[in-house]
Amino acid sequence: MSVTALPLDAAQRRGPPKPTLKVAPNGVVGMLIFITSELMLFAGLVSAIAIVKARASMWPPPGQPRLPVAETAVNTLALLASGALMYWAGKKFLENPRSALKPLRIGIVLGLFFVGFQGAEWVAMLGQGLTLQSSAMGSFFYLVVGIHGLHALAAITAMIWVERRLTAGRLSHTEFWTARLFWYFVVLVWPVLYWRLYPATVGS
Amino acid sequence: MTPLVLLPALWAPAAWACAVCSDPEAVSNLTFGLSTAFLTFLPLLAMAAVGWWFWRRLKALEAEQGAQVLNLRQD
Repeated sequence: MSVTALPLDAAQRRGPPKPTLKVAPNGVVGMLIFITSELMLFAGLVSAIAIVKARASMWPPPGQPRLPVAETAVNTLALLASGALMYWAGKKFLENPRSALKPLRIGIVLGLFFVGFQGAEWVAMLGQGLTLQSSAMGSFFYLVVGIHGLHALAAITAMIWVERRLTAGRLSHTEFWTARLFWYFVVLVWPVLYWRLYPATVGS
Repeated sequence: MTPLVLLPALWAPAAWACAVCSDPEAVSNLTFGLSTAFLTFLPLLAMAAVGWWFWRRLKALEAEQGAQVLNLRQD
């Protein structure tokens, strides 16, 4: 009588499967990748401003209006406050989802205020003769503020969607987390853009 | 072969093809250098930050799971 060893299949050789840990939800990972690529878009713009400014003999260029530094600083504070409120809403959501509604709504209103203020600033600057073609400063101003404004509008739209879902009691933690990450990016990138675009003057 | 090709580059004069790099003003050259460094290291730093965050979350989850298994054994 002979005993033949039957070949083990791959699954038997490996033994029982090890439990897998999910480090972060797919939505959050996707948003982090998106934010990293967007970060490079804004980094490119910041570098371009730095190089053009360094080559300019005078900044703002002669004959061009000054950007409203103080007014936009107040607007920047409003945006930072909205970011803090979104963070607080995230904390409240973990305790009791309904309690996150108030800070979330105030944060959205502050975000809308920021975009509205920037829009009004655009109109005012156009009235003073600063256009996309009038100078390098005008080009950068409308390009950078415009791109950031589009991001802010997209983030506000996402937050309004979050607010509707939360009101209906259907919002998941992952959805809120993903939307907040994008909001934090929009809030935190703005002070850097403001610092590079608004207050600095060269040779004047 | 590659070192042989690259070796003459050590003795070759600088070819100032880039309008910004060849700017006679030192301020502009410094800005260009800093911008290049910034744009080179920022994506690496961003990816490292995300990787570090993943690693921290993984360690926290593993510790949490280990504590759960220990509790089950004690029960």
